[in-house]
Amino acid sequence: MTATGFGPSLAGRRDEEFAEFVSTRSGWLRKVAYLLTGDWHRADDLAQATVTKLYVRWHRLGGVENVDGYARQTLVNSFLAERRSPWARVLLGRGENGGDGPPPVVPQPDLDAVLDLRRALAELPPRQRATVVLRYFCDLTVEQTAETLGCTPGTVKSQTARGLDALRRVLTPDSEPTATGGGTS
Amino acid sequence: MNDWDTDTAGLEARLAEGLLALADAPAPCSGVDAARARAQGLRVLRRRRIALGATAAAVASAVALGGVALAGTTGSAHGKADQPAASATAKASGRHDPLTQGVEFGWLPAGIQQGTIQDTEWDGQAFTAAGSASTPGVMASVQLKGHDFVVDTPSPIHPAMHAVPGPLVHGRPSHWMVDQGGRSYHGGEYILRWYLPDGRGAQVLLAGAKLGEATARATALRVAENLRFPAAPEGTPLPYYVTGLPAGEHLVSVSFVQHTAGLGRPWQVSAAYTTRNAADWQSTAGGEIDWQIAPHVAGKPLMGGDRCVTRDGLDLCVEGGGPALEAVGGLDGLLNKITVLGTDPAHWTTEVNR
Repeated sequence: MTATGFGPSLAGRRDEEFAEFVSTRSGWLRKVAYLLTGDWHRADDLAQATVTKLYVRWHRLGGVENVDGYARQTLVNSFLAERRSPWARVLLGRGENGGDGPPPVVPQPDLDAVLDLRRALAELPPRQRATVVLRYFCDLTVEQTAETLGCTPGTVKSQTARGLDALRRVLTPDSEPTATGGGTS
Repeated sequence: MNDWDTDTAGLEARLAEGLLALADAPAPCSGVDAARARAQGLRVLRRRRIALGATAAAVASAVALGGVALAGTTGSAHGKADQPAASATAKASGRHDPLTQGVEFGWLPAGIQQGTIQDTEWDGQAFTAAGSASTPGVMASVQLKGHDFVVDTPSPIHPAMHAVPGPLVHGRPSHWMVDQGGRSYHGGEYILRWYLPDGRGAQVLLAGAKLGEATARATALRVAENLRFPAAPEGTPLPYYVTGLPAGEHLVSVSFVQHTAGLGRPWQVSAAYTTRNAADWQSTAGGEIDWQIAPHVAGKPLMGGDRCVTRDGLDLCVEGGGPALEAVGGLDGLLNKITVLGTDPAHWTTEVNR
């Protein structure tokens, strides 16, 4: 559709760019959302909410070099905001993914380990879980993770250490907790 | 020994591999939709333009109207049974309670009791009531929204919702929020929204997949019809007070959680403040400070804090970052501003921010 006869209008171009971004990046956003929420339906909601927020700000993102980073930050902030809600507390009370059934994972050799990890992630506090996902799935540095979460690198280090320790404890019930330190920010 | 019982480097490698496998596992078809995001985004932009002139008044009203309380199945103030009376002098002295009780349940299903009372800058005041062991899987939540809440429009957090006309609530039209197929949201969340006479929005959410649709809808409606909205909400007594928060720090969220199975403790209080622009809750610029307080449980550290202490039988953990943390003198400065009041609710206070 053309507004002037010389090509799409500015709004039209923005919409095309936005549609292309969602087309190419929503799968990745959805995976990050799934690791945060442990549930594909809630991951869809979270990813959809994220791209909606991106649309609202799309006209101001022209100067943003790292739109992926901005999208990731929006997703994580939306997740943390939702986790603070009272309803999330109740969901935690029945096991964060209770009622939704197991994810549709097909049989594979390491199925048990994958499901164990999903359950272990669900036991981490939301901010710690976000830190672990950003560091080890999104492959962000400590500094990039700190920027995404709006905290100091020291906090990321301590959250990471606590997260790793907690995962080790949950996944190997006989293991001893390690000293993780604190107050590093 | 299993794969996870290894040194840190090994654990990090195993974790990266495991997260990749988990994310790459076969999944349902994606529900993410650019056209729907665009349509919803345009509605948000339109609402913002309309609301621009009224924002200050709406925010002031939301703050003044206070929070949410929970009553028991008998219609009395069940949630107050183990709490002292609110202090009438709090507002007069300039001290205040960030968690006020703007709603009371007049009726709840048997076996359901108070869970969370919470106030957030982005989602209004809310509380939840969760089922006991005798009523597993049944939960109720009431949220009191601001004047800018649109009852028939999904929030950005749950864009897959759709509104369909509901019954009259207190004589006023309501909407059920359902999924795209017209079923209860998330396969068992019955959400009823309506406007109060003063223009604020209210929402009852009942999780009751096991109840069946007719019973769940009737239960949600009965909860809604029996809600009470006190004209002068009281503060919720909390087990701490905080002194000398800089004027630039404003509330992000505060919650009092109890009777929640996943908590692992009788109760927990959390609060978060920030120095960033209040209108941009999505931003992390400015950073946040937050703290959590809960009864000490030996061998079970309170998770999520950068620095923790145990005082008067309570664990107090603080964390934060950015200008918000700098403004209070770092983690030690923040710890010094918070005084915990022990495990006996008789000693708690409604003069929380001093």
